[in-house]
Amino acid sequence: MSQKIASDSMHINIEQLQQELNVEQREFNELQQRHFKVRAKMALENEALRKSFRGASDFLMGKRKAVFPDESALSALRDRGEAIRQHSLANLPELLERLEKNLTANGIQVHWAETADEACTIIHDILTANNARTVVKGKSMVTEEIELNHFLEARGIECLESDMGEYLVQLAGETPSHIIMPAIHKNKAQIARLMHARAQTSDGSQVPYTEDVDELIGNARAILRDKFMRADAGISGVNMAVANSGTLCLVENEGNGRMTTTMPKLHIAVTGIEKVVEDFSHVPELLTLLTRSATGQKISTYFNMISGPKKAGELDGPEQVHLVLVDNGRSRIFSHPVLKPTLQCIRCGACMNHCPVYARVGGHAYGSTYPGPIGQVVTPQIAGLEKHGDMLSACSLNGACGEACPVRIPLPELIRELRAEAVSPQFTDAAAVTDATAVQEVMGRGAKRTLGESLIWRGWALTHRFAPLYRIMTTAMTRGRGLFRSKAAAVLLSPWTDSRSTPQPARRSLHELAKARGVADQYQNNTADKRGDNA
Amino acid sequence: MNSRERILQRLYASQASAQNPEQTSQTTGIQAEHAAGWTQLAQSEWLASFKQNLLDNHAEVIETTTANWAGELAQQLTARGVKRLLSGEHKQGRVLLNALAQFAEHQAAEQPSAAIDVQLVTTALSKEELFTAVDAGFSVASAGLAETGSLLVETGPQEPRALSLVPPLNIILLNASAITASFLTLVQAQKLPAHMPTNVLLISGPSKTADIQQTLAYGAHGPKELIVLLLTDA
Repeated sequence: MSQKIASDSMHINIEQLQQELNVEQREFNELQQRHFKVRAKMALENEALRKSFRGASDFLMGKRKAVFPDESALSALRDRGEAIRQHSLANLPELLERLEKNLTANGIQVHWAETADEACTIIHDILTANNARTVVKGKSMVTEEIELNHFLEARGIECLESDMGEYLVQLAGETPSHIIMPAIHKNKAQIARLMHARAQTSDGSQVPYTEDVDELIGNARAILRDKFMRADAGISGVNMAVANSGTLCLVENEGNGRMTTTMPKLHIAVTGIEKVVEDFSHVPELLTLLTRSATGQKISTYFNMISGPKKAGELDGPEQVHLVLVDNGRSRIFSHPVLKPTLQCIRCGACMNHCPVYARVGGHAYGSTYPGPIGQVVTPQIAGLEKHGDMLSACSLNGACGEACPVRIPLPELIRELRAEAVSPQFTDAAAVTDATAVQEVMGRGAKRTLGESLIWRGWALTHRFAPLYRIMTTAMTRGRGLFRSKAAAVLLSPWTDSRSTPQPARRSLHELAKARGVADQYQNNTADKRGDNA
Repeated sequence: MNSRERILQRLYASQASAQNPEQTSQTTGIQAEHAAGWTQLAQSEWLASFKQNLLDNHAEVIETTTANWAGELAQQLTARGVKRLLSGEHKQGRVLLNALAQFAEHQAAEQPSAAIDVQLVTTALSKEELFTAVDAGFSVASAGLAETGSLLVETGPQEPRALSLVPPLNIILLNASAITASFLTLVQAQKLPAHMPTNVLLISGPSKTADIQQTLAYGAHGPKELIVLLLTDA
């Protein structure tokens, strides 16, 4: 459809195009309400989408590889990244207090929010206290997490995304499908249609249809620069907050982050509490890990270090700078002995770029702000396993994410831990739950626990623990192997066999085969034989 | 108890109950270790690396001298048809102002319309004017980073933030002697200001984006071009 339009751009019917986009948007929203498996299936059947993600993943993996030519240097740098992030977390509460003290001394006002709703309310209050009606936003995943745009728009405040990808996604009425490249799921032709149908220039006219990337960017640039000039407030994220100097650091290429934090009178930065680092000496290595892992760049075009609002004598810059520190489940993650490294994340997106599942189903299938491996780890912990536990199944435990992670978050282990949490019985000891010093259970623990499945696993454990039971099972399987081809089996096994071949037990068990060849039925002999085979 | 206290209380409580010996060892390790293993450029490579990185990022590097830079820039600006340039109110800005005035006198006979309006800004900038009527911004960098081809710009009363951001052409002056290996060496040598100015920037090229189908486009929201004037004798 889009190709037809592309080849015949003189005859685009704008109304028809707008209707088509409205239908697409409705379909997108409906799909986002449905079950994870439905979304994954739909994504797998969408060839254009798969092509977009395959292309993007290959591109980003290639770029990262090229900018880390030396394996041992990369390994050393990842050690440093991990050590720096773990150091920050080990001292998190002290560092947050120090950050607050130094930011305040620098004239930046600090706010604390326990929940998403509280964060939104704080931001809304700051905006209304300053009569701000229009907001430009720099790229910020945490504001996606707390769904700030909805909150503000429902209260009559215009909230415009200014990162090119975020702008396009907002224009389409969608959500980002990647944390670094939000519009990664769209191709040029789709973006051309979108801009033509929905974008308006500052004088209210239609943007001409073009598939030329420079022209598309030029059109968006003109629209957004006008907004930067007029906006009452700018809202940004933070990549690192430096406790010792009271500095907020932002990483970006486009200049929208600087515009957002420089041009409006009011700047509100929003960050998760885990983004703090102790000292500037920890910043350069995290920065280089971040940009190299994210987009294969040695450094981003801009590294913006903000240590205060406009001072007396300065000619520009915001008159007020605020920082909203968002918890939203992070202090709960912090208490978990195994899941704590979740908070090491610097949001580079390398794990999703390297994830074979993400490359196939794409970001929207996950149905959460953060997609891919880090999303599978973060989202169920923030929003609960009952709601987001299903996405944990979108992992083959191949380990690529863990190897790509610049700060060595053991992502496959964390996914496994969360899978276990999802099917573990809930804590029954009420004291353990209310005691602030105790390990907090993951929200929705046990949500995926079913009687049938837990019985099967118990049976499985039992048969593997008791040799006679095991023998009975293998005999039954080998002698009754014909049953696997029966109609009853076809129905029973269909969830597995719908997309895989039917399992077929062997005629004789390994134990029987070995015995027939005269292998002594003794544990020690068996292990000796195995070693011999391997050699 | 407010949110701040509740968050901190939970964090302190978890911190106290966490028994994680390896974490403490990493904590001490972080102070002792100095980026061992991560490649650092030798001084002989700094200049070449600095230039190459900027070129790779679509910037233009002009090697010049203390005596000649302003004249060379005047030519560049004329060739690009720049009509209006803003600079902070600093020494280098005044040098440029004089050079452009002289250049205009020379040129006046041939091209009376080619005069460039240079202004050293001393009062708050009108946003409307800045966004619509200024072709170029002139800034001075205090350091350069070889590993990444970055320019350290410290903003302040003499160096407004918007000059390196809003105009389509961004010009930055740097003394070659201020080039150091990397951001890490800069920080470790404590060359970042002890009290950070309100806004400090690392600039490594003109603004860009690859958000449409991974296709690189320059001039996203900020400058479309970056010219670096590198003073080889300073």
